[in-house]
Amino acid sequence: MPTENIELNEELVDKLSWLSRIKLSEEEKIKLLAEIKIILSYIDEILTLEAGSEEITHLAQGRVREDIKLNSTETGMELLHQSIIEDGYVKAPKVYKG
Amino acid sequence: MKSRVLSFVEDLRRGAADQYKYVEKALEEAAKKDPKFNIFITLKGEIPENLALSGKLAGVPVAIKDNIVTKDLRTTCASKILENFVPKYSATVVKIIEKEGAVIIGKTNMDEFAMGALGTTSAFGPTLNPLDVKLSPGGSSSGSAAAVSSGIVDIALGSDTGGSVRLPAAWTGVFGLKPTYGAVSRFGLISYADSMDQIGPIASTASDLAYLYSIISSFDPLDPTSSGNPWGNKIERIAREEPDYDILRSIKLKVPKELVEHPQADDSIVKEFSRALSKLESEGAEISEISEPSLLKVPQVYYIIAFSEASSNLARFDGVRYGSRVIMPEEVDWDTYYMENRALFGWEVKRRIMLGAFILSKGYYEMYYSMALKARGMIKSKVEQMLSGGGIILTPGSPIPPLPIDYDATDLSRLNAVDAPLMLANLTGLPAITIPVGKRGSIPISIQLIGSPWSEDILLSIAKVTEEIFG
Repeated sequence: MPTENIELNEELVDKLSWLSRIKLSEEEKIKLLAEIKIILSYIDEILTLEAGSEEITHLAQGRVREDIKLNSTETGMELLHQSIIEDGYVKAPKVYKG
Repeated sequence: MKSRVLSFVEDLRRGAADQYKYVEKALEEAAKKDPKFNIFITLKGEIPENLALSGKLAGVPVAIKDNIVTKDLRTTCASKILENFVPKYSATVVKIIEKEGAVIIGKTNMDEFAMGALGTTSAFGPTLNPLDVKLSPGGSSSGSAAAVSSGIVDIALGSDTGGSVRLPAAWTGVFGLKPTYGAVSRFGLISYADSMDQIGPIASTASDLAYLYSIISSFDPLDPTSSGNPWGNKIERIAREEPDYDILRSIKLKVPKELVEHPQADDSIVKEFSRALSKLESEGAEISEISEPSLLKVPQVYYIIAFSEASSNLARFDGVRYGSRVIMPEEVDWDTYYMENRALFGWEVKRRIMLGAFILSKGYYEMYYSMALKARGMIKSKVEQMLSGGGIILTPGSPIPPLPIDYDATDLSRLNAVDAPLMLANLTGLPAITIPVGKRGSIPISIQLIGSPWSEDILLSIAKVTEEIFG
């Protein structure tokens, strides 16, 4: 099965932690590695299905609203709590390192 | 059974009821039962002043799952990351029921971000089954089902992405409906896997279920996947009128044998299910067995899609705009800040996000995600064939009894028997209902019906008849 060909190791766990931006403890890394193996071996079972070619990503056609301005908020700031706003801006960490 | 909600609203309209009485009783019951079963994350302590005298839900207490946003009322998704999040707006369903006079008495416990089948992944501790505290109430709408089952409220709202309304309804002995995708607005429902998420009602009687559904199903311009209500006032009429036994003679119930003769299914539950089928047959229902082995792969397809969508949907929880902050933004760079804050997710949420990231990453996208979308297409077309000509799929609500509250759900394959019949409706967007048909000791027995798109009127009519037959 394909899972047997995937290198499931600490490097992969670190990569997934980074891609997901979720910090893991050493204990959690070991746990994740064990559980990935179990779950992948389960979901691998679909690889033998004769699935056809039609991909379904959504189930509703969807309706788009008229492109007119309604009484929505100006900036979305009104929906945020004032405690995180400073001088009219959301206080966020710097995006560059240095 | 007559709708208790309708009876109260009619009495109130005639001046024969006190508008505070129903809510008062619900809060008294909640104060007694919440400490036993851990049903609510946030429970309102006082009765609001000036309760409405008119409206379809005037003075009616309702419990709301804690992933549906409520203005000025804490909404946590049962997660540490939203522990103190108080929304500035309400979901469309909340606005609708409040406009009709409903009183939200509290926000119910659930699996964190609706990820779980047992009601045990909540950061606020598990909900216990009111029928037996040693058992799981089912998840993820564990608190909403327990609030109805324990008699605190007659109606509640949950959400159903992979059976999360129907499983807890089945395991606590109440009614649960997963609507056709698009029938109920998702605006204000915190997304888990948005191509499958649906808000659905849970109720103590079929009439209450139909009545609440008649109110919440409508078109919402704020949800681009919303389609509206094709039934007019038919669903409300079903709630109000006597059961129509002719409905049983006009449908063809089809039982997929793979979902009943499952290796993990419990023999005694299957026997009870067969007994229920015989009873329905004796009342005029036409029941036949069908076979479709690919249905056993539904959970695997579901998990691939759900994990992938979750990894994208939950990327918004960064601790910048809302949610808890474990460090201050001045102290670190963006990536460190993001990673530290997101460590607040519980384990089930972390692993689903990371598995989603894996599935969507280079080299695995085609192998898993693309393949799952194709399998979804294949399953949808097979199910459409099953439903053609007035067919309705009939399965056990759960082919196993409620699992122990301390059950280890690490290995998802062990839940295949429970997941397959329920997740089938989410993958295909079809309406599905779980209906209690009796008990074996404290173990509730239920059936599930899956119908064609927009067949909720038929499913709810069958539920009313079934309730009377097995009542």
